[in-house]
Parts: sequence; C-alpha cells; structure tokens
Amino acid sequence: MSAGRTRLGWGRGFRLTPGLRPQPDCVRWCGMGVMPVLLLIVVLAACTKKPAPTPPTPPPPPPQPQNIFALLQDPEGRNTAIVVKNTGGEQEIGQPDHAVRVDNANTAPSAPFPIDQPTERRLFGAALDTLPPAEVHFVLNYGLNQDSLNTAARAQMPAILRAIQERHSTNISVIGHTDTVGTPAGNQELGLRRAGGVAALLRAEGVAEDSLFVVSHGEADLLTKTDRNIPNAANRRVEVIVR
Amino acid sequence: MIFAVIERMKLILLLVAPLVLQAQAPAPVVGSVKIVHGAASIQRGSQVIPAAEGAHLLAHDSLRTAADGSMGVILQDGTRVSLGPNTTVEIDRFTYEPVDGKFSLLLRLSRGVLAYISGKIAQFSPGAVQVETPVGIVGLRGTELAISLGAL
Repeated sequence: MSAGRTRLGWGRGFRLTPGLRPQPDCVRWCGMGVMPVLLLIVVLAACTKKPAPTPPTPPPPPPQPQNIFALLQDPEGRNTAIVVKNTGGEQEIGQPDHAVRVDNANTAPSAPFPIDQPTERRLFGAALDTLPPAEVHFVLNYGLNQDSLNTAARAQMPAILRAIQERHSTNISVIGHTDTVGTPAGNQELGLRRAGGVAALLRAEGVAEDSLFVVSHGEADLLTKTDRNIPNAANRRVEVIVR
Repeated sequence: MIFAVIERMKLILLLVAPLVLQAQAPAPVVGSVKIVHGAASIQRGSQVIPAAEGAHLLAHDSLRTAADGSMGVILQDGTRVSLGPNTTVEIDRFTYEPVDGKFSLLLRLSRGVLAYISGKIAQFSPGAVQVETPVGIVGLRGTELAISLGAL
C-alpha cells in the first residue's frame, strides 16, 4: 500500500517525520502574504471617514425568573382579596386580575399591577386548564323519624348517578342529618341509617364501596336552626356530594 | 409469680393496644385526583405513587408533576387545586369539620405553577386558608388565585 501512495505522489509533503516536516507551498505563502494584506485593510479602514456613531444595541438581558402571585376574577363576581406576606413586608391584592411580584423571601412584594389575559394564560394556563369542575350537591328529604326515601327523594337518584358517571367520581360523601325530635344519640343513629340507605342504593347501582364516604351529623348541623324537639322537614335530610 | 407476669402482660397490652388501633385506623381521605396530563405522581412518606385519576389523597401527600405534566385535584370541602408542569405542592394541613367548626387548609408550593379555587373552608372560615411558598405566604380571602414561581 505505501508503495502505491508514493507512486501517486501524495506521500512527500504530508509524511509525518518527526522534526522534518516540509510545509506545502500554500502554507508558506499564507504566512508571508496574509499579514500585509490584513495590515492594508486595517489602514484603509482607519483612513476612511467614520460613519456617525450608532449606539450599539445591547443584547436583550436574559429573562429573569419571576415569582408572580395573582388574584383572578371570581366567577360569580364576589368580593375577593389576597395578602402576600414575607419577612420583607406584606401587600394586599384587592382587585381581581391584579398581581404582585416577589423577588425573594426578604424583599417585600411589589405593588399590585394589572395582569392581562394573555399574560395570565402564559403564566398560569397549564394549571388553569387542569382545574376540575366544581362538586355537585344533592339534598334528599325525609318524613318525621323516617329512614327510607320518599318518592320525591327517590326521583333524584338518576341525577345523582349521572353526576357520578359524568365525573368518573371516586369521591362521594353521603351525610345523614335529622331534626331535633328525639335524643342527640338517637338522632346520630337515625342520620346514619338515612345515609346508609342512600349508600346502599348507590352501591346497588354499581358505585364502588370505597368511593362512598358515609357519615352522620345527627342533629348537630341543622339547616334551619330550631329549639329542641321541633319537627322540621328541611333539617331531615341526606346530603350527597359528588366530587 | 405467674400471676405477676400475667398482670404485667395485661399492663403492656393496655399500653400498646391504643397505639396498634391508632396505626390501623385508615388515615382520613382529604381529596381525590380528578385530572392528570403527562407524568405526575403522589409522594406519600417515602412511597411514590403514579398519580391516577380517581386516586384518593391523604394529608401530607406531596403532589408532583414533570415537565410534561399537569394535575387537578378536589378536596373534601370542594376546594379545587391544580398544578402546572414542574410543580410540587404538599397538602400540609387539611381540617374540615363543620360540626365542630374546625377549618384549616395549608398548601405548600415549593416550585412551579398552582391555581386554586376556594371551597367551603374559605367560605366558613376566611383566614383559615394559606398557601406557603419559598418567597412568601399567601393569606386568602379570595376565591380564585394563581401563583407562578420562577416564571420566565
């Protein structure tokens, strides 16, 4: 092979012989010729009249990470506010679609500033788009000392089941309540029987046991405040909350 | 002699039984995962569970999303919380006992993006809801809030 290379004529200049490395002509030419040419260009450039100095545009500073706390619009237009606090001080945001910036734990939050829709989307969009729908709330009412569902209450069951299916809910609270007729202990039990009956109906429709949170509040959480031993239809109820 | 040993064993049982029972009582569910996009997980103690829609949440669970992840959860009082990508939120404290009038919610956001819509805790006890971050604490009388840490 090496004989072949020699015959072809590309062995001489590039053969790696320590200490004896003849330079090809082009390299020699470059060393002697390029420097004067460069000098000439520099001198010419210096002689030509300088254009009016344009202020150099500095590269845009790299974006600084920011910590933004925003109060968003209440969907129902209620009054709303947040307070952001650290060792540097505190700042209230009392207007929706306003935000504060907080540089670090020792620097007080900035004054509130308005935050527009595109900025809100850019900063919080991924989280806002993943907010789940609100829970839904059903109330089933009972006759005096009754623990079985009446016709009106039974008629609500399809809507409850629909809500569970739509939400793929694994988190359903069934809370039994009573009025103040009877003893608190007896009402605790009556509330549990009411809630248990509703839970049994839901289970019979295929709702998983571990998706149901069944409790009784007895007479401790009256919808309508009454004295003791007062029959009250509104207080005799089972709440079903589908999340 | 034997009698004394039995007495001692009884005493030990009396002391230990409540601890065992306490350990066996399931921790109360504080909420559930509703929406998961991309990679997201729940850290519970030293255990890391992939976040699945429908999974139940316990107090002190730490919710995490990866760069492609987001996650929405609902708590037992109806509070809704969602995480954007690269986010870690711990449900540090959750107390919702309307009968006893006890309400408290503390979320700890250590990185990323969080959105929040208030539930009954905030409704019954304004001031009982706090969001803690490395740069400050948010006290809420508000209903809808969003926080972005380290946004560019």
